[in-house]
Amino acid sequence: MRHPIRITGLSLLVLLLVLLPWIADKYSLQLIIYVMTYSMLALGFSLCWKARLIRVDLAGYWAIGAYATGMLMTKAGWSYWPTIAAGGFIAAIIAWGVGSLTIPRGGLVFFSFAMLVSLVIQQTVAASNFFGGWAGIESMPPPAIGSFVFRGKTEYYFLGLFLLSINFVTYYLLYDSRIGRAWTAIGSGVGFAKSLGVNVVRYRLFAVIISSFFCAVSGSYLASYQMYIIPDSFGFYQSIMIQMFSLVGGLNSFLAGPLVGAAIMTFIPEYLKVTAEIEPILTAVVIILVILFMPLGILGLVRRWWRSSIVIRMRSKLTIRST
Amino acid sequence: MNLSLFVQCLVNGIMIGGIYALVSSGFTLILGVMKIFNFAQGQFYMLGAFVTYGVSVALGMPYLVALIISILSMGVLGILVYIGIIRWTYSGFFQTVLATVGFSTIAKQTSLLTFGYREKVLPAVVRGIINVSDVTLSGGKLFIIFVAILIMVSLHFFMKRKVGTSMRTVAESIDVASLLGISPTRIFWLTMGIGCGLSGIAGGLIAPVLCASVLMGEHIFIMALLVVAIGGMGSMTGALLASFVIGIVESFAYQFVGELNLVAIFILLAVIIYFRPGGLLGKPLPIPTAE
Repeated sequence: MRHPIRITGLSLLVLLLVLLPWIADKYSLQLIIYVMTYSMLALGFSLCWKARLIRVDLAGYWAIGAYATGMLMTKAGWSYWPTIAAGGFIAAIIAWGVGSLTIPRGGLVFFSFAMLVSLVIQQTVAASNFFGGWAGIESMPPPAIGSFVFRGKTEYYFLGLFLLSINFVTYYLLYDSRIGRAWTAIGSGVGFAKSLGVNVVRYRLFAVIISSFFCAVSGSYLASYQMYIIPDSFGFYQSIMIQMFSLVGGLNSFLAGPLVGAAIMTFIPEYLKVTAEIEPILTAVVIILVILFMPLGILGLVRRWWRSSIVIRMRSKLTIRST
Repeated sequence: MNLSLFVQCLVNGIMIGGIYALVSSGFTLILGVMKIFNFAQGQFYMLGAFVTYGVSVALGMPYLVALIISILSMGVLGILVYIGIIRWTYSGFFQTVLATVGFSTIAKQTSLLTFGYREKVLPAVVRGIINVSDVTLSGGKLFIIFVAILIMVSLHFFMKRKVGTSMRTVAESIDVASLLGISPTRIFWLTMGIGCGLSGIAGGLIAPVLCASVLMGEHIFIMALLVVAIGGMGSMTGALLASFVIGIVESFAYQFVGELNLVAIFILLAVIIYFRPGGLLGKPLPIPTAE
């Protein structure tokens, strides 16, 4: 028991997460399900940001996951569970192709090419009748284990919690490993990382592949929850929203930041009761204000406040001693 | 495919290519000189179309006056965006990207709330039709090609003059430009004004042929991005070349594969990126990361 406070807090958090469906009302539970979907995306954005790759294409991989689930369940008659992995692997393969083509050619080429890939995915899916066109895919069967069918929000909450914790733990272990330290080195400076012997291209490629995989997982979760998919929900605006979650939470907090940002930016517009036309304006204003006044996000602010309060406490102790 | 259809496809392609050339040369100018990825370029195009509509239809002024007002107002708006938002977020590439994204979202949604989804129809400016044996050409399209080429040529000569040279110096290195007595801030103002003004005039030109609609900004932004990726980041000549290539390819691909023409262009881009990483006529720009 090296960190008693930390372990107590962690077990309380787990208890709270397990009991949450019975504490929260139906409406909040639905919002929490969306928060979990968005968190998985924003975690992917933060992962790539750790290796200093800016991704504006995550919505495309989100769409790949959702469409893999939708197509395989309605057209090919698969059950739900293998489609998660199938969507993830399709996304990972596409990300590998895009990444190995563009990452060696520099950050800006990757940035613009990846954005085009996601836009082309959306436009192609919307234009072809095979994928259902602009109307999308409707009436998907719910996931089931044996005879137990996922119907209520509680079941979906636990499914989402399961997927999110797999994602979170994977990223946590990665950040704690050699790979994560290589990403940190790239984040401090590409030249610096190269001088340490880090293969920058390979580690960046790995970051892109793993984050695309989990984005697709998030997409198949969203598809199974909504039971319909339309191409409009995977546009460029959604990619910007993902960035905003990471930005509001804190760009330097790679694990907690996306979760906090997604939670805040999902709940606030809902409780302000803004309409669908005004919501993007609110998002944009928040983005600009956060960049201008809070460049490290909410967690950065909290962390700075915490540190300064510790310094003040230490100083007051020192003054007492000296007097 | 007979001759008449071929020539019409070619003229359509060149017209669309001219519009792409105007928008994407503004985009690549801003990217090259200021190192800003201007996501709002498409929205300036959309606003330019609406300004032209407002001045020529609602106020009843002649079309050429409306065109000049649209280029001037978009230039001023671009400078205001630079002063108001971008200058304060100059700490890193990512921050400026998000700032322009924020402005573009605000512009799009506000005009959606103001004008609605309905397309605004402008009366045709040049009505004539030119018949050469069995080939029919509409005068409006030829007018757009003429004006676009005129503007591109004058931009070319502008870049050869002293101001244009100092712009290129700032694009190379801000420090060297300051040492030579060039004020980078003034050059940034000018670049932003010219870049956004070019978008504005493109919108004003296209408005009588296609209608002015709120959603037109996003499509042109994708196309401008494709143009810049193919032509080379920060290269004006490359942008000019690539716009006409893309316009013609798009126009012909639309005849054969319909709505999937974007995929055709995208495959072209993938091949070009594989063989020439920096695009046709460019070298890869270094990406300045934040912090």
